[in-house]
Amino acid sequence: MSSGDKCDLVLNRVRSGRIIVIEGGLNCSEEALLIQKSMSEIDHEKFLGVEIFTNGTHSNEKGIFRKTEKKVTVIAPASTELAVRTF
Amino acid sequence: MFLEKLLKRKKVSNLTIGILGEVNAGKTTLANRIGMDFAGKEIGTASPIPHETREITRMDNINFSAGSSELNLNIVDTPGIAASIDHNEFIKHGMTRKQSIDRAKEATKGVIKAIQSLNTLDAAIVVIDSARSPFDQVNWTIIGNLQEKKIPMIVAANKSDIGGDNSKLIEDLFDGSNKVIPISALNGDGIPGLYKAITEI
Repeated sequence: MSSGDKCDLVLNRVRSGRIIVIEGGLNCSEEALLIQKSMSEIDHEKFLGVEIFTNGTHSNEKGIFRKTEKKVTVIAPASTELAVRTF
Repeated sequence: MFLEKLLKRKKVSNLTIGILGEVNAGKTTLANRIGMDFAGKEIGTASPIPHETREITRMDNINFSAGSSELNLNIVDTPGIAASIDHNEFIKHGMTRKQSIDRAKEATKGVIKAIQSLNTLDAAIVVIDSARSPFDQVNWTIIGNLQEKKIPMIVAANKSDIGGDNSKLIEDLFDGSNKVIPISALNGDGIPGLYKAITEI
C-alpha cells in the first residue's frame, strides 16, 4: 500500500471517530503527508484535524544497549484527549 | 595585512534557510530579530494569537555575518505546523465566528505550504518552545523529515528565559546529533551563538 493510500485509509477511519493504532508506525514522511491531507479535510465543524502520537521518538537511550521498541503510531480525531502509555 | 584579512574572511554564497516549527514557537519573532539585526527591517507580524503567520514570507539577500564569516542569506519564515486547527481558539482571542473560521481556513493552507517548503530549503532552523511540556509531536515530524531529506538544521530551543535551560533535555530527545542552541528570540539571549551556528552550516 502506498503512503498516500495508507494516509487516506487512516483519515477515513479517523474522520468517522475512530482511534487508529498502526503497528510499525508511520514514518516521518507519512506523518507529514497525513498532516497535509488532514488540513485539506478540516471542515471547521465536525472534523478539526488529528492528534498523532508515535512512540520511540522520545527514547534517549543510545548505542548498542538501546532498547528496541516496537514502533507504534496512534492517530485520533483532534477532539480526543490522547494519553498514551508505553510499556 | 590585507592578505591576512582576506584569508580570514570566509565568504559563502547564497544560503536559503527556513525557520520551521510548531505554532507559537517564536519563528516570526526570530525571523524579525534576524531581519532587524542585518537588514534593519522585520519580516512579518508576531503575535500571541495562533497562526498569525499563514503564508510563507521571505527576506532575500541579507548580508549576514558572525565573527569572520559572511553569508548571503535568504530567510524563509513559515506558518506554524499543526495536525489540527480549531477556530474556537481564535474566538478566545476576540475574533467573531466568521473571522475565526476565515483565519482557520487560511491557517490550514499555511500548514500545507510550510510542509511543502521543506523541499525548497538549503538549511533549517527548527524552533522549539522549550517552555512547553510535553514537547509537541510535530517537532519530531519536522526534524525527521529534514533528516530524511538530508537538510542540515539547527534546533533553537526558544523561550529559554521562561522555560529554563531545557537544551540538554531537548538535545537528548531530538536525537542528539543536531546542534541545539538555547535562545530567547524575544530578548536576545543566545542569539550570537545561533548566528555563529548559521555560519557553520
